[in-house]
Amino acid sequence: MKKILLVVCLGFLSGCVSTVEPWERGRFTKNEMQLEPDQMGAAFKRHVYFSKEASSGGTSTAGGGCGCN
Amino acid sequence: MKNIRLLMAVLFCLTTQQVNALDNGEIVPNLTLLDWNNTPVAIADYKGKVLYIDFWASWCIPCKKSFPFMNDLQAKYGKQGFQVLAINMDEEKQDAEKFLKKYPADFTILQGNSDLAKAFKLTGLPMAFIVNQNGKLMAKHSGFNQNNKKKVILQIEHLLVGNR
Repeated sequence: MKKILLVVCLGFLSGCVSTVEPWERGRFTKNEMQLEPDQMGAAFKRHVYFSKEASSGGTSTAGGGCGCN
Repeated sequence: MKNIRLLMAVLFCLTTQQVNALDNGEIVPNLTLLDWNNTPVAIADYKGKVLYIDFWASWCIPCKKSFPFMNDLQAKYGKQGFQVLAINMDEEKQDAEKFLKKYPADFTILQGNSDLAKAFKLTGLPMAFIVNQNGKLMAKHSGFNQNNKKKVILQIEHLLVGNR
């Protein structure tokens, strides 16, 4: 029983070591695979965030809270 | 203890991957591929020509720069017994088609596959192989940048001397 369990566990492990080959990275480059699919929107959100929260740090740029810097 | 050793050995075997690059001087594997119109093309059909075999994909940024360079190579050396074979490695053909509309190619485009990439032991994209008239690999270039253009041209011209 223990041996069967070991083999099953090893089977699961073998699934974790398969690597993505260099020519198989195409789908990773697609927009929907990015952490932030909408790059422009994310940049805008960051800009507003640091403008409003400048006093709490995070960036070196000061802001008045209008999000217009 | 014995079981742990066995487990370690099995894990080592599972995680170890053999990475042997295709070496210069080796005969390039003769494979038959499909061209863009699904017509079979064998690499051996080009025996007697100097080949620049380039692996590319639409998502590969340096490939945008390598296409105009390969067009220039084909235009300049095509009549001297030289051929560019650009092998596409996209998982979806329509991605490559979009790329080709934007970056037209005046050379042969072939459809690649995983077996081919393994046969050539690709380490990244783009990757180019310069093959002599006898099908022997003479040089390989991983990546594409402005600095290795001159090197590629010199290597091709050196091999083409035999055709003159």
